[in-house]
Amino acid sequence: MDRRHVGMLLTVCDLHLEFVGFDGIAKVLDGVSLRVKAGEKVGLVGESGCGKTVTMKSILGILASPPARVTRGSILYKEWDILKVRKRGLPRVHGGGMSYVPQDPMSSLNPVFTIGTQMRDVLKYADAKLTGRRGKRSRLVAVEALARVQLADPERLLKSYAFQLSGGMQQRVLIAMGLLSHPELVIADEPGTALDVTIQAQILEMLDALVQEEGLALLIITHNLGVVNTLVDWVYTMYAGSIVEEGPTAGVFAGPAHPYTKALIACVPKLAGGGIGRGIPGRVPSYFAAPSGCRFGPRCVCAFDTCGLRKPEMTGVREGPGHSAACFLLEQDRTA
Amino acid sequence: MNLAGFLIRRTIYMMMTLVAISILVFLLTRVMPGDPAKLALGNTATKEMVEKLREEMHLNDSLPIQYCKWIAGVFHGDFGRSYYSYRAVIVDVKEFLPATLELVVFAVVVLTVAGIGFGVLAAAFKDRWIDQGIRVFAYAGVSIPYFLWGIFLLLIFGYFLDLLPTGGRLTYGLAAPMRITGFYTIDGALTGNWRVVGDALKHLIMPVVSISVGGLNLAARITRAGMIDNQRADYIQVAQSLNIPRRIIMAKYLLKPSVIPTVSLLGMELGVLVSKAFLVELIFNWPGISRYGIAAMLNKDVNAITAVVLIVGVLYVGMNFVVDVAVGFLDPRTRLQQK
Amino acid sequence: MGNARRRETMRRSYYKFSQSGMSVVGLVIVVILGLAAAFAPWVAPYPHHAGLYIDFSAKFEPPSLKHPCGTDGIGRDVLSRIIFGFRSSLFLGIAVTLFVMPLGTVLGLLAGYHTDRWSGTLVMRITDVFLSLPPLVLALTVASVLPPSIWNGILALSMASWPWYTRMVYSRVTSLRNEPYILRAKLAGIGTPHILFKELLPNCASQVITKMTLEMGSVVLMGATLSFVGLGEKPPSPGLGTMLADGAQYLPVQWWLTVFPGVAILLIVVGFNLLGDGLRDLYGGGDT
Repeated sequence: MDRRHVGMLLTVCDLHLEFVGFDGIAKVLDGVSLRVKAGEKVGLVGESGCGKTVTMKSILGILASPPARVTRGSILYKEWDILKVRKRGLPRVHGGGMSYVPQDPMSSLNPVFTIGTQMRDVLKYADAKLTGRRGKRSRLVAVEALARVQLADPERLLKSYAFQLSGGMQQRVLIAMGLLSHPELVIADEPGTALDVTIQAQILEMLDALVQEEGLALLIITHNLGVVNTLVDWVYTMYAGSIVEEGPTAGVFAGPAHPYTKALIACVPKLAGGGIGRGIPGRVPSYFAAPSGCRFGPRCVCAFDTCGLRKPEMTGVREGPGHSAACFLLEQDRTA
Repeated sequence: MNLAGFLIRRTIYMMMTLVAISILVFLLTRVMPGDPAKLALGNTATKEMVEKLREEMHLNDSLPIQYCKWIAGVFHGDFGRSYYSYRAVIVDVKEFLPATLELVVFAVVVLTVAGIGFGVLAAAFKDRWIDQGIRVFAYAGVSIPYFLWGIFLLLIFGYFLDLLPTGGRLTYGLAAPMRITGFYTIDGALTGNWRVVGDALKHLIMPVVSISVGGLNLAARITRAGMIDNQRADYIQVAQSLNIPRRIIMAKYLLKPSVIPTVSLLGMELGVLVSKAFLVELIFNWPGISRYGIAAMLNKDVNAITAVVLIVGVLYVGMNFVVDVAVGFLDPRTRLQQK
Repeated sequence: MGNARRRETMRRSYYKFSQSGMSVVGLVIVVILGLAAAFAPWVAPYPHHAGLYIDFSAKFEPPSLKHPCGTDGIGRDVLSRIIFGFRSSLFLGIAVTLFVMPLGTVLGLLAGYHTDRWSGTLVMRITDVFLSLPPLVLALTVASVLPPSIWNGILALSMASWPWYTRMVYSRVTSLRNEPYILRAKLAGIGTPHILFKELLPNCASQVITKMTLEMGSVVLMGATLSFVGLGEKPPSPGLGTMLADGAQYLPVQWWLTVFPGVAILLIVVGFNLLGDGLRDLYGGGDT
């Protein structure tokens, strides 16, 4: 095992994952590697169906397996391999170090318990520092946490049930719950997409502020390039189960190296003129019969023979430090 | 307070249903071919006697009037006279009802506790042998009709193994305890007569198992399915990601929402317990209201039939009401959201 | 395209169905029972025992090679009577289901579609009232006020069974009523009967079929109960419930007189329940 994980909070190393079902075996993740440093804000971008949610769930250890199966690779939190730990031991591995902000706030809170009960349980079981202190102390902590996410009247909120709150409020509650254990890494799944755009903007702003204040690391999973552009420092683009490009946000957006990233950016309608973006011809490949070689090959305008033969490695882009993409064009460029 | 409003609404609905049932029951039993008065008096009756009895039974009045007179009587606790035993039906009812109630109450407890318990166990140890065992038992329980359970249990434990008594509420020769509630177990405990309590419990085992086994297995299956389905739910995944330990998730976060559909379904099952008692009382020679009711049906004893069916209907609706309240209690969404 | 797609769906359904061993077992049981019932005179070893037959010399014989289920008090072969009993039980079940299913479904469709009209509300109120009594008690009551015969038995069981279909179809229709394709049909001016039968009904079909299968078991059970109690068909026709009742008095010595008819009833119930469960898993449930 190389030392790529040293100094990193989260290291996903060459993760291969498949799903076994009626229609065959779906090889969804085909070598995903990414890293998050402490305090860093990272974005994972891709369309629906590219495997980013699966990746996220594997990291959090909430993927149902079977039918999911990891065939190769590892996920490390600091220096511990998450995949090697049995389900039951997982909480102890990262001990609240990783936290999750879910996509759909409506269904993420237990409908039959009050918010207060749920928050109290998180405090009771997740944070070792708080165990033993009951009642008043945990209530105060909960109230404080709710106030931090700018929720009014936190006392009354504790006695409410999830369905009595609006989507935006639920999302804030979930963020508050996620921060209770003082995590070092917050993983946000499409934050705010289930909400109105204005509310979403508020949530994102708040998330950003919290992350700055606490010095947290943030991993945002999204298909929304706008979010990525404004919030994160480092971005990974993902297509059909593998990372195709990574690098500092500014660099990648200014000069995307991978044809997919280029096309993705071109798709976004520009408010300042330029009209509706052009779509990418073709469709996401079926994971049951994924194309050999570069998975984007069939849809790529620049594809040539090698693209169908083997999978390209991540190659550094000349102009950007750390900026690399998995494309034979770059390899060609290098050798040229 | 919203809980009170919920209760009031359910109570009103229950009252209306009870009235409707009484009308239905009344109509059903009055649609009999043949003249009930003549049936009651037998073939030797003269025309005058039949007429007199018809007057007494209000059979010459129009149906709505008959209904009103009957319902008025019911409110006074008067179900009329049995034309078979010549006693007031209410006396018969008072004598036999507690036996059935005792059976049903025990069955309810067994069904709920064991049913949900098995379901939780099966879900917690999914696909291991505990789960497989419970599932096979559940299939057997639900598929083998309850009276067959009764007959088989009787054969095996009553006759072949001779472990449990084969009928009645108490061993012959043992006197019943002083009648406070009519429940031999409670009365025995209240009067300190522990021998009677033990004996009554022994007699209760097989009939209670027979009528509860179907519902028990249904409850186990539904609880298990509910827990397994809800495990995929977003809020459970969030709880897992928040490091809440597995045992707490199972016992608290998964259990409460999963148990709600079980409790709803149990409502119907609980009511059905009373109707299952019908056959089980016959098999185990249990002196309850169902056995009395069947005898009344065979004898075409109109007043008794009406009384028994009405009581069964009331019990059925009552059980459903209790369950509705329980669901309202468990699930804040039902109780706090106006329909 | 349509046909190929349909074949694919059927193959997929068959695969899914066959995944569950129990469902296949249920199907097999039902088929065997059906065949045995249909060809009873040829399948039963002593077909004439099903009618009037007396042979006191052979009475109360325990199970043997000659009489695998023994003989009863008048010397009749129990196995043959059981096979004919399948016939009457299945006939009862099918008759009741065939009568009740269309009736209940149509009522449910109407009530569900016309919840705003008084006719719809009335139908549902009546259904609710019928549902507030346990079905067995309802059937017993109706059977008790009528002279005992197989047709009255069918009537009694029908009265106890129809509300279940109505209630189920009603709830399905009310949830489907506001679907876009229904509203589109309404806007296009398509008449109600067409909407009911061509649009809504196919969407309830899978639930109804599952219900029918599951109900068969209940109906047969209730029928056996009626006979057991003495309110069903009259002897000497072999009904499984009657046989059970007759045999019960000879417990425990002549145990075969209750055990085998009991197992026969069990087979019917288990077979249909397994099949129904399989169908329910296949079609994805809903509230059957």
